[in-house]
Amino acid sequence: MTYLVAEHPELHVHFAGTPLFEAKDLAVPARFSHGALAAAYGVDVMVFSVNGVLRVGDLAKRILAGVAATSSPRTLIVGDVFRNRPTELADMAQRVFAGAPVDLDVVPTKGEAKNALTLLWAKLQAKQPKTAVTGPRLAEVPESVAATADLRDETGRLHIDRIADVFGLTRAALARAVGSTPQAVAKTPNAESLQPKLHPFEEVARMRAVTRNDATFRKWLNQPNPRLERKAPLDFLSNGDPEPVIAMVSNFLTGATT
Amino acid sequence: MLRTRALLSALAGIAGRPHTVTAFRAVPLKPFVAYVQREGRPNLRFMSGSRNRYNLAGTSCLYVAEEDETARVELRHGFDGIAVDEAIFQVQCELTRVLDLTDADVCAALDVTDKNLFAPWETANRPTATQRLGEVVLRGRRFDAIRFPSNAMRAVGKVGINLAIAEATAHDPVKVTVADYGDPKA
Repeated sequence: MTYLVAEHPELHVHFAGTPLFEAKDLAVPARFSHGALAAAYGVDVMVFSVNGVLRVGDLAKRILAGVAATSSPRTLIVGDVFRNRPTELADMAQRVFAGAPVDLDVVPTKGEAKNALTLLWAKLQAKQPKTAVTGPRLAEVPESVAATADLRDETGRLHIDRIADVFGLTRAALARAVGSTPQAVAKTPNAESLQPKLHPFEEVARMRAVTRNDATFRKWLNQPNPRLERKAPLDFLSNGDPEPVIAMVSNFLTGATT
Repeated sequence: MLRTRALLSALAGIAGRPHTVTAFRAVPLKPFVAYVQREGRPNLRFMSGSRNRYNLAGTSCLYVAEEDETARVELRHGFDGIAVDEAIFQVQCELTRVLDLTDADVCAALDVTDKNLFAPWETANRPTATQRLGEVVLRGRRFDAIRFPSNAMRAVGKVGINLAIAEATAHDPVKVTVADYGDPKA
């Protein structure tokens, strides 16, 4: 189900033990507390860190005490003890929550715990849409747009050198890809006439919202791609045929199946 | 595949079948969270209108997978080597009129071959057979959705099923409900 919360300015995380990281390490507004569960108030999620061998029953009792103290049905267990024991986890959930709505997650690492908490915050922002709404494209959200902000210069125009750098191309190669000449782009690398031809590169570069560095992005650009008849995405861009790559990236950012 | 007039005639002879399923959609986590931060709530339908296997650019429809594994594999198909944190949506579908292309009889009636079903659409210079079929079906009113085999799962030697849900149906709160989104996976 989707949790309906009108306003939820921050995520209150209560660690049943020492916090694994700081609230500022999360990408969303968060408040951390820890210690005795009975003292916790307004908790969105309880976090249990588990190392080594643990009896399911013991953990169940601790979670049950936490639920009673905080009224929060959401529990995150960090540790790999249940990773390969889903039956035990399901059994524990049944015992602890006795059929009530439950949101019990297990993640093996601190990094995934951060992701899980970030997503929970998003979940708490959610309102189930009552009517149809078609919002902006995911590819147009600030995070995606910000991923290409460095392709534009101080005038706001796309700059051929900046794009060439990110895509791992020489200025001359990029000039040819957009139907210009090295001499022409050297004179005005952010020319008005170049903007429509450079825009497809900006659309493809929105993928940098997901890739963690430009080396990864460039590697992907240069690898033969099974969806492009084993040609590399950069081949299409260099040959003035960016549309197949744009369609791929756009569907990737919106999670459309193919 | 059949030409348009014959296709319309063949479609008229096919009854859409009811189909209830909890479907899945995987999206990259970072842009999604940024979206929620900006909009204050998720619009989980995310119909971009981008060209895809069963639609041309400008035709909005909702693509989901019938298995969460299929959704994850679909997200990564063609993006090997890129570590993606993802959010998975569950989409409850109570569809009443589905054109099922996993049914051999339906494919035979429409003269749709495996080659058609799995043909690359990204590099095609003209509308593919599935795009032509999708434009007729998804813009018409006789069907809620097209059910079709996943090319991404096929590429990894598995079988998975996808749905392309018509825009009007995707906005019908009786037929399509975005139920939840779950754990991010690295």
